[in-house]
Amino acid sequence: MKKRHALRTLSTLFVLTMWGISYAESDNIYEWADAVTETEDRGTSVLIIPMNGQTLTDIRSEVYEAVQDDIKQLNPDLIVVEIDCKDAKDIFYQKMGWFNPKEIGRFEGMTENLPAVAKVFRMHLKDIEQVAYVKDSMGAITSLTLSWERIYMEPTARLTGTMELASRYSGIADENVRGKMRTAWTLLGSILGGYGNRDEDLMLAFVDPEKVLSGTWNGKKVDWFKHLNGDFIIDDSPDMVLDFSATQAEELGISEATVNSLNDVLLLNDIREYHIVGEEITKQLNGYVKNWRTNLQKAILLWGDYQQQTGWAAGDERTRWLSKNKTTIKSLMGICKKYPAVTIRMGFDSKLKNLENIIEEIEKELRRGGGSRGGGGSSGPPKMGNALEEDATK
Amino acid sequence: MPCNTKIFLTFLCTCIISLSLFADPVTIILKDGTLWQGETGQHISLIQKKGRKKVTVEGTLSRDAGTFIIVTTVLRDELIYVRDIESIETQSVSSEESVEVAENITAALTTLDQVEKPKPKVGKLQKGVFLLPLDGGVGLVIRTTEIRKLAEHADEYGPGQIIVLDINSPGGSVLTGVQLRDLLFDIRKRHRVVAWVDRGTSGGAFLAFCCDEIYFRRSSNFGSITMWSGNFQGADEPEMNAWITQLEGVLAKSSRTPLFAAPMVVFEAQLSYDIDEETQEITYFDNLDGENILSDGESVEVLSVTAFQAEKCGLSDGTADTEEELALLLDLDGWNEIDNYGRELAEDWKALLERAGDTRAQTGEVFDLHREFAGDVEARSDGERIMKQLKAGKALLSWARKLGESGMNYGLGDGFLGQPSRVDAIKRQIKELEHSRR
Repeated sequence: MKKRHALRTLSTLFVLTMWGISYAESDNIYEWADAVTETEDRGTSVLIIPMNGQTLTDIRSEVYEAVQDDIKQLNPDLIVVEIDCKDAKDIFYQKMGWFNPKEIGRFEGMTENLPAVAKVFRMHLKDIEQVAYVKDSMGAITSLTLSWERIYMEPTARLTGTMELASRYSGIADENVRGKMRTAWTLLGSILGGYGNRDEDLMLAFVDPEKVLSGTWNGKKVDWFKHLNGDFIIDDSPDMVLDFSATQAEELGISEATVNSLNDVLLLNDIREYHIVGEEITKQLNGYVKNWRTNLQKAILLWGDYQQQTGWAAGDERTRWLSKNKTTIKSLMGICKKYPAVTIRMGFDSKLKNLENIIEEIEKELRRGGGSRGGGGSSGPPKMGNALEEDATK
Repeated sequence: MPCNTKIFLTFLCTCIISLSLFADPVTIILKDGTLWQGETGQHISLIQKKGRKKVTVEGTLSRDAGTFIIVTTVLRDELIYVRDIESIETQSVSSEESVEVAENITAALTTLDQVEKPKPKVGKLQKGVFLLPLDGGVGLVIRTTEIRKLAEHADEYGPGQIIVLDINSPGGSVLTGVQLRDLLFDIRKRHRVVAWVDRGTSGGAFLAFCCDEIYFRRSSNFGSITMWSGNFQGADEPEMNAWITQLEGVLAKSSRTPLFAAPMVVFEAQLSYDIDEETQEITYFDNLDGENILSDGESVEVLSVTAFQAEKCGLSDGTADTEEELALLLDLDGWNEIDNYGRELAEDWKALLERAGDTRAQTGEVFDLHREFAGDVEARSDGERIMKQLKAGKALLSWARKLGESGMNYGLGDGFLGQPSRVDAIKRQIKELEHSRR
């Protein structure tokens, strides 16, 4: 080694040593997750699947089914499903009622839709390694969240159950019918949990308020019981569903760990170097959410137009506005057919029978030559199965 | 400056200089064929492709190993593969500038987040104070928009700026208060946020608690953070308890005792404290065990403190009536206010609100427009009336855009939290008027 090389090496070593000493006292400058590097094409290939927003609208099986084959073909080393579903921003917001009730996670009568999402990932794509990175999991989504065996939660994330299924049967007076409906609805919890090898009693306690839950440690795992005789009691109330913080979920072995970032998740899976793949798939999924929400706004406008035009369809202008209404409802149906999420949010029946009836009524009126009645095609805007919660004219 | 920092700075300069003495020529050929020639020890700036991102790396070229180079940056030695380099350029740094660079590095290292956020061009930007006057009700005058804008402006000067919120508020909306909290906690990750309180009652005090530090004016009064609704009805117990928990969390986040929370919300809560004569350390009690009693739990009044009391009990970080006095308390050489951006923001907002009108009396331009839009206009014909209504409706939509999140105070809500959108209703009514004009 040349003399000047030696000097330079010594000098560099000296710099690094002093640097080390200087920062030894500085906390939090380096994080464990810094050990993970995102590269252009080296290391583990990771596909990010966003699962954000409201169940049945933002999160729908068809959307994921549409990318299933692309994912198979892409064959990433790891799928990270990023789940961020919050009914309210946090517990305080929830308690104060500061949330948009229209954005709360839904089941409606469509019990098959969330299991179909699970099927895409947990059956059809089961050969690809998967983890769920949970930023928040409130309400209806939680059963789906737990269909992944390995979940990682952010410190502020929550894992809460839902009363949505119970509301489907709680008002039934006949005990036998009620009992049957209770089993039928809450089974959804255990079906989804089955994909993640989750305990049935645990899963049911997330969706059935009448279920109690206790547990007993079995090594690092917990054996769950639907009675209160376990070593510790989690839920002894007949009116509540489960509600875990990230810390509680980790301590009870429901989540693998509490993490601050994607890098944390990867590091915990022994990944030091990774590259993101399938960005077009991620983009397509995000694009769907943006598109249906834009179309929801269009649908609200169209529905408002229809109601307004119904009022204008009188006298000499009756035929003109009836025809216009026909076009308006057809446009609305076009949007609803393309985006079932819009149908749900507009409160229309899933087969759009009510909208078809409106068109039929308008056509009848037009065949009769319009006439001079006041009001709309038949007897004004029809009553829908659900309240039209998005009605902008209210 | 701590001793090890001095040592570090000295050696940093020494090393930069010494490396230049032992400089080796370096030739790098980029992917696009561009040839760069320099030597080790040079200060360089390069753009590195890192996964999907492009990252700018600035530092001293320490080593060239053919396929990769090592660049000594403010934080660490970065190993950079030549194949990942998009562009590279030399930056000239004198010895004096090296010291300046190092000083800026030291300042920049105060927060973790600066590692991830875009850094200012080291050595080019100054550190100083930005002041935002917040004068009025929370939710009415004080809202997130101006604070966010000021923080974004401060971001341009790099992390570690001092944002002073000059608070004079009787309180207001709890929801806005909580939104402000979330925003301030985020800003605190990269800047030092200081509350300088004139009057801080209820939401005004909550806002101050959300800051890193609190300074009072001599005439200040501070506290009474009870949650109540429009008809002077206190919140129900579960909500009140949840509110106390929120407040405790905010206090803890700023390293203040959470024991201040309950007495500032409900009068039954007790609070006292002792001051150690030797160390001046303060010990708080949620009962009357302390020598100094702040809340006895019997007087029917929730805790509120003066500047003197606040400083004595450790609630405030000091008392200052002037900017110069505040600068001293902030450990600054002088009141180095970088620009008037915050003051101008506040002035513009105040002027706009004055034009918009008084929400309680329902007077002013926006309320006049609402009346006109509803048909309360002087007109010689229906056509003229409709024209005037349409004009008012369109002006209201323009106001809705200007008022933003505050629009709801003026009947111009945009459907926040699922409420019916007044803006949409106005648009619909405009269509109706346009139809009837035909």
